[in-house]
Amino acid sequence: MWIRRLEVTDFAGIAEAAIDFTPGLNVLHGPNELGKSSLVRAVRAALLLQSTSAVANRLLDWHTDAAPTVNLTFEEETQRIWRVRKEFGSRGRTYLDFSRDGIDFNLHGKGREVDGELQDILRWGIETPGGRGRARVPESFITTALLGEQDGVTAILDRSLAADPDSSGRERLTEALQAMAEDPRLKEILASVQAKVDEAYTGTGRRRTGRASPWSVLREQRTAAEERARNVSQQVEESEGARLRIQTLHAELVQAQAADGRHRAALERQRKHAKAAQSLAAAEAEVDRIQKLIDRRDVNAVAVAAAQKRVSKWEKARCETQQSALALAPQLAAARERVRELETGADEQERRLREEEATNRRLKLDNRQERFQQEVARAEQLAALDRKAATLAADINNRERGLREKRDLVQEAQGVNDADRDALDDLEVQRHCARYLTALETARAHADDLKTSREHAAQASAWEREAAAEAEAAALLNAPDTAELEHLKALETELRIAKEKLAVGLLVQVALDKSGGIEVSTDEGEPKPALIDSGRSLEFEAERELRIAIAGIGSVQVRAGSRNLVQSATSAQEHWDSASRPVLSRAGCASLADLETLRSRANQHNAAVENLRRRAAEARVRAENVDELERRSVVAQAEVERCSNAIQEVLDDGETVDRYIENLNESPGDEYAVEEAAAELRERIGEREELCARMMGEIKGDEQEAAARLTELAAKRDTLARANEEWPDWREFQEQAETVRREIQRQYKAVDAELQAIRAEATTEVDAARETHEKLVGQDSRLRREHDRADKQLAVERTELARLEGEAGGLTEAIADEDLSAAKTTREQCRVALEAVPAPADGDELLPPEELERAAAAVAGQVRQLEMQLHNAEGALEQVGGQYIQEQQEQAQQAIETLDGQERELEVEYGAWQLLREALTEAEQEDSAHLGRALVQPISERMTALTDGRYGEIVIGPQLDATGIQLAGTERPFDGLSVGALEQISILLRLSIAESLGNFVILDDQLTQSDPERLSWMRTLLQGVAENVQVVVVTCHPEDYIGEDVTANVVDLTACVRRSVLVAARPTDEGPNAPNEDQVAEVDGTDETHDAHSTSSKGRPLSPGKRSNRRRRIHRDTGDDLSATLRESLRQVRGGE
Amino acid sequence: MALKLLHSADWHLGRRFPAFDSEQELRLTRARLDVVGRILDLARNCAVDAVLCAGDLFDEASPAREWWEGLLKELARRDPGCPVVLLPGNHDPLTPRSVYHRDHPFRAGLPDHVHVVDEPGWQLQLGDAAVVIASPCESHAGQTDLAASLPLRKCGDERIRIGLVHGQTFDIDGHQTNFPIGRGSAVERGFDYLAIGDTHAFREVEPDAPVPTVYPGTPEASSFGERDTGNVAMVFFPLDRRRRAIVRPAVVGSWKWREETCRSLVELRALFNEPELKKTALRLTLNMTVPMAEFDEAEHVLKELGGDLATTPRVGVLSVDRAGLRLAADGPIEFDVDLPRVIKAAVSRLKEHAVTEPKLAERALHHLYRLVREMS
Repeated sequence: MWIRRLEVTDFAGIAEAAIDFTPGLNVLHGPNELGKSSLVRAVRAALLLQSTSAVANRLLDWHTDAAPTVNLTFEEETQRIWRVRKEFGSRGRTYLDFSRDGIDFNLHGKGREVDGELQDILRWGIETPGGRGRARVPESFITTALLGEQDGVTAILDRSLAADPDSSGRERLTEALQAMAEDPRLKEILASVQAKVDEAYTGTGRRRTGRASPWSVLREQRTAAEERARNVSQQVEESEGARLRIQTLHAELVQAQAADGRHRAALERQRKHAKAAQSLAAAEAEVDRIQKLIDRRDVNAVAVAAAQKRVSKWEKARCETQQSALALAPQLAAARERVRELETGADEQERRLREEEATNRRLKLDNRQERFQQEVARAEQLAALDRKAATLAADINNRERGLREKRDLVQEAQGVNDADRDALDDLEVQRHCARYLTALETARAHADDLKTSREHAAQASAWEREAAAEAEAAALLNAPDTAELEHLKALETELRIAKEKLAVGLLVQVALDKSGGIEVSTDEGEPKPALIDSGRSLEFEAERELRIAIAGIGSVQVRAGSRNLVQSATSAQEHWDSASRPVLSRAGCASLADLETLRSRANQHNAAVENLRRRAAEARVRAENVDELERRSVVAQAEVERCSNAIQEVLDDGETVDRYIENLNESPGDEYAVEEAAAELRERIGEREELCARMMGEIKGDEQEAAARLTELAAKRDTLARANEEWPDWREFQEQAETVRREIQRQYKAVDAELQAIRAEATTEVDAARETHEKLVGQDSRLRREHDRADKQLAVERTELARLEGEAGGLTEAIADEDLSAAKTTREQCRVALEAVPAPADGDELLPPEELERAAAAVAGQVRQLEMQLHNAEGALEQVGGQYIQEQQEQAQQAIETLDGQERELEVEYGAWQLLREALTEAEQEDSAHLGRALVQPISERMTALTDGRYGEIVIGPQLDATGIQLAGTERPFDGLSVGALEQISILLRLSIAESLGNFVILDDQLTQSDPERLSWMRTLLQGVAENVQVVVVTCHPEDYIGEDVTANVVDLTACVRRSVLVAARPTDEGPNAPNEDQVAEVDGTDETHDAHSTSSKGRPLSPGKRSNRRRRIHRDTGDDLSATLRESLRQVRGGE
Repeated sequence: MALKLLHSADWHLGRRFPAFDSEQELRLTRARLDVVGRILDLARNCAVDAVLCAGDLFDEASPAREWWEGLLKELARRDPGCPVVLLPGNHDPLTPRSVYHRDHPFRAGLPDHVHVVDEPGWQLQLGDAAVVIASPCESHAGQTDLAASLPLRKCGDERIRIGLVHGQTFDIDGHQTNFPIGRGSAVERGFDYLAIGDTHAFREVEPDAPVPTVYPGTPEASSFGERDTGNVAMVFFPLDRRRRAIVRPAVVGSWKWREETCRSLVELRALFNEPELKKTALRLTLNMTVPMAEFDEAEHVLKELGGDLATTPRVGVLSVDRAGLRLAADGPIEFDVDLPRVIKAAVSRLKEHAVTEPKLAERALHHLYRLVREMS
């Protein structure tokens, strides 16, 4: 993250300021009291302070009552560029814009939500604000590190993440430091382990169920195996069931067969007994038969005598009934004659005549009744017709009244619509005016943007030229490239090692027989004389070589190392010489150190080239859309023209568009409001037109309906008139109809009573005669029946007598052939034979033969059924049982056991991966919980380099709380260090944190207590750090940071910042603090364009009245080049979207 | 020689081997079809007069198409030059849905020289001098003595009579319903040889009886612990009819079923170095506690033995019981590289964990060991 641009107005003594930053090192310098620290505060306020916070009062410019504003543009990452715009104060406003190219920004959010959004972007450990804002500028460990205040150089040493109000800073640092500290091997192992775990388990630790899951295959196989095992088990159970059933059936069959045998034996015995008994019975029957024949013959003789008596009796009864019938015949004839006379007499004729007359009268009454009912019905029809005609007439009257009302309503609506159309025309002109003003503003804005882009293009060309010059300078250095330099370093190291190997140390003891002088030279040193006394010896030490020259005798040269080592050293020296000589010569250097310096300078040139090229590229990016801006400018101008032309149509002669707008009674207002009003008007007109159309439709329909009803009424009235002509008295008839109906009913009753009386007269005398006659007829019939009965009975008895007499003859003959005594003998023989057969013993044999047979048949059926069941069971067993199915069951069980084993193995396998992941994760978490560990090494290395190894490692706690330094194995607090050292350690810590976060860091005049040497070291460090993150140094001593070896964006703040000054105010109508007329005129004049295009918070043009209310009350000195840019910024902040 | 026969049984084509993974199972199942080819080749080479297959040729009555199609191809491709008789056994009984039914495409596709015993008392004349008389199993189980139901030798019938049935000549508890074959049936029914099938081992029932009753056994073993498998019976009838038929086993099977236990890495290495294990079904039990390096080597050897997607297995079919392979977790674990601090801490945690959950922790330690080794 790096800051791209900062714009400030009316902020803590700064009237206006605009600064462009670059990635890398930025040195902002200026004299005291220019407002450097205010700029840092502005950055802090833009990012951390709510615009409505009470703290914002401290940001007010003493010289003006205008609200302070800050625009800060920063790049979160490539193509994610944010711009924060804040106007501080009780009615402060905040906007957040987003851009991908840093040129075109879109409004992303506004108001309170922006601060929350910013905290989400930054994640600096600042809690999301609420309410009216905080009572102070929020702080956290990261804000202290990145935006430390000028007077709090060592504040970072007193802070800890534990004191952060929000955990976001700790989380972000944890991620950053973890990533920094994480061993790549661990990362790779963790990834591998996680991949294995992911094969089998979901993120929540449950087994995966997808197709690729190892469990799925097993589960499917297991399901199939279980299904097979179930089926086989079922078959085995069926087999076992069949086997048991066979056993049961077999036992039952044995029992049933035994019972069947018993029954058969009993039945046989019973049959033999029955046969003997049957023979006896037959013999007895024969005896009985013969005896019966004899008995029958005797009975027959008695019956013949009785029959003869009955024949005589019935012959006598027939004669008696015949004589009685003959005596009754004359009485019957007399009674029949009396009845005939009564039925054909004169009284009867007269009665029938009267009955006929009464019947005729009743028929007439029926006719009258029918006619009366017809007339009543017709009268009712006419009455209904009359009522319908009256209803129709009333309805027609109502409709005509309604039609009049609707016509009035339509007329009224059309009148209102005419008025609204006139108003709509006025609104159209107003809309053109509003669009004209908007288009004019847009066109001017595009023109400004175009100008800026062209400036960027020019700047890009300049930077490209500078980059070319830097590249040329780098080439002219003839510095060795990095590989070449590394090769030379390796050779130099090789040479040094080879020499070091020879430096084993030599100790030579020299003793002379006589005192004398010698010359001793050690290693590359010059010969030194020495005097040795006789009897004493001297020792000489050297690392590699020792030469002793003894005057007059000779010399001794002692070299360390074996021949191979010496040769290696010589070879290394030759390699070094051959490789280094041309490079040193080309570069004009004497040593490897010089070459490294030269390479460093070349690197700096190259870095400058890169920086310039990058800046040029960025400027090119900004300038890239010149064509687009030109196109937009043309389009905007065309829009101005179009709107102007539209307004021209309503202008008077000689009147201009601007004058027309100025002369308007009201401001044209917001185009969209005008459009909205016009739309509303159109909608109302449309509604009314629709109403009129609907009304006209209804009127037409009502008229047609009324005409139809009039026609219908006329037809009914015509019908009624004709009926009146035909039957003028129908109404009177209808009134008297009830009376007539009652009269008819009364006549009906009278006729019915007369008819009833006539019919009653005829019954009495005729009935008596008829009764006598019928009684005699009954007596005659009874006598005839008795005669017939006697006759028939006589015939029967005679027949019986004849039959008995015939039977008597037959019996006599039959008895003559029979031998009763022989039959009795046979009977006795049979009785003896029966007694010889054994009688039934007990049980079933005591049953009657039929029952015994039935029982035997039942048992036999049971045996057959059992045999059939047994056969079926054996058949079933053959199909499902036996060894085959047992083998199948074993196989199925084996399959399940195998799958169980595989699942257990899989559980162990993936359980082990899970366990490994947990162990690694827990170990990693435990390790990473101590955030300080990651920072100790880089900071300590720099500290060692800075202090030349004076101090050991810095001690940083788990919460990044720096507590001291390690010295000689013990921790020492910071108290014992100098102010300068503390200052430098703080900077090192802050830079390391900024590097780990990849975030810009601002150093506000921090290195004030450092000596030139350490300052120089720090300058180099800053340059190095700036290759990774943006470093902004704010200082009044730019020379401390700028040097030939430093590539930086140096910003002279005197050219970018304009302090506000107090201007004496002249009392005016606007209050004691209002500017004087000249100043207002000056401000108004410079801001004329701005004011003319001021917009409301919703982006709509303000009315002249509102514009005057928003006239800025800023007091400032005369405008300069910054004014236009800053006015634009101010406009953006105050204008909103 | 009056007559030569090849008598086989219990091919169990399509048999499942659920104790192994699908690939190994397929390997074993295919081996059962491969052996059929060798049997038919042997029959042709020995110029036998008939090949008698005494039941359980398929593992079920309605096997998958690939198995009966495979057998059809073998029978069509390798004509032994003599009749081949297929007898339905209790595994593949003659039912309306079995491959032997007349409506089944297997039956329809059989070459002319292949005959199916499809009715009780079925007969096939082998020239003028011999006859095969057979009865099929028509259910998975039964109490019928199929041998006893074969017709008796008629008076004056001088032909060599060969009985062919499927069933058991012994009574085992629970197997009473499985087509028992009464002892002495061959003599009683007037046979010169009774060819039977069911038992997987080569066995001559009552070797001293005047007429041989023989189980040829399965031509390829089908489980661990089976003995005398992998044979067919070659039967020779001397010209002298008074002499008993001579029966000899002939090896046709190619797979071995072995069970081994390794108690040290040395034994495991020795097993690994055995030359020919491709046609071996090996059940390997490991029982050793070793340091990490040996644990890793043991895992490597097991991987080589069993193969994976990238390597061919050294063993035809491998089943490993590795429950006894334990890591000496309390000993030092020699990582070859200087480990990051976090990994060292993780190793310590896993070692602590090994006290409560040794299997998981040991395996996890080995995973970590492998990862670090691979990385270095």
